[in-house]
Amino acid sequence: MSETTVGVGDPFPDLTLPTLDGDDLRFSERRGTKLVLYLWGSW
Amino acid sequence: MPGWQHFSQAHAAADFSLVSVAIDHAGPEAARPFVEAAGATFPTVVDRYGTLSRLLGFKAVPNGVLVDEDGTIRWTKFGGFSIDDRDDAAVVERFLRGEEPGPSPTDPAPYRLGPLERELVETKLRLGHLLLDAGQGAEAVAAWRGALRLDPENLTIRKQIWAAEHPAKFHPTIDFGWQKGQLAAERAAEVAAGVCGPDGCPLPAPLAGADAPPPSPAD
Repeated sequence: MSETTVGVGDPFPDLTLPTLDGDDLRFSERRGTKLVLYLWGSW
Repeated sequence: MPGWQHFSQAHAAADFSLVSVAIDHAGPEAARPFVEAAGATFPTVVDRYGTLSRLLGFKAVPNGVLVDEDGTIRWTKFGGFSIDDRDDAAVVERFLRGEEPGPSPTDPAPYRLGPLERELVETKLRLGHLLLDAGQGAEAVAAWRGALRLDPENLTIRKQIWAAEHPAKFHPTIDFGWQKGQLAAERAAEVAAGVCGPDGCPLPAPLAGADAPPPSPAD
């Protein structure tokens, strides 16, 4: 890991990504509840 | 994906958010069929430029990331993560119960990419998508190849180039055997050409995912 990647113990990046429905999901707005992320690709 | 829908329903009483993140340079339309086929009721976001792969430092999927109520990353598994796997599911369930999820598996193939390199990779990926949207497919692939030269271990970029250049290998079904052969051939050519990555050259081996089970959107 370089110094600039984040990992266990670090805050999850405050990223905003589009949902399939066309809305924006901002990860920091999910704070206050546990977040389970599943990262995948269709390829 | 069906496994996650089942998990989501089985744990409906638990207080957590499940979000699926499609690392998909082809955009939402590539991810949508899998989400719809699974009848997923949880949100899917699309990381079209692979931003998370550079922020978290992974170069293949499927991955799991657990984040606590304070927004702190508590557990990660890069490569081979599946909710249909008994051990992986047990980790997630421990986390949802408020217990320690346990140590994170070591990334089988971490990579180092500095902030400037990451920014350049992302810029080239974005340029490729703009070109693609403008109908300039060949130029788009050239831009992606520029990104791959900087980030040669990144399978998410490499597979996207393959999908653009060899669509028959991806639709209607994905030919993972072909991918394996293609990866081996490209790696050999890159090593011969002295392609350098952030870890030096030639390419460090093995690439993540090359020998692991292929990423499966079906899990």
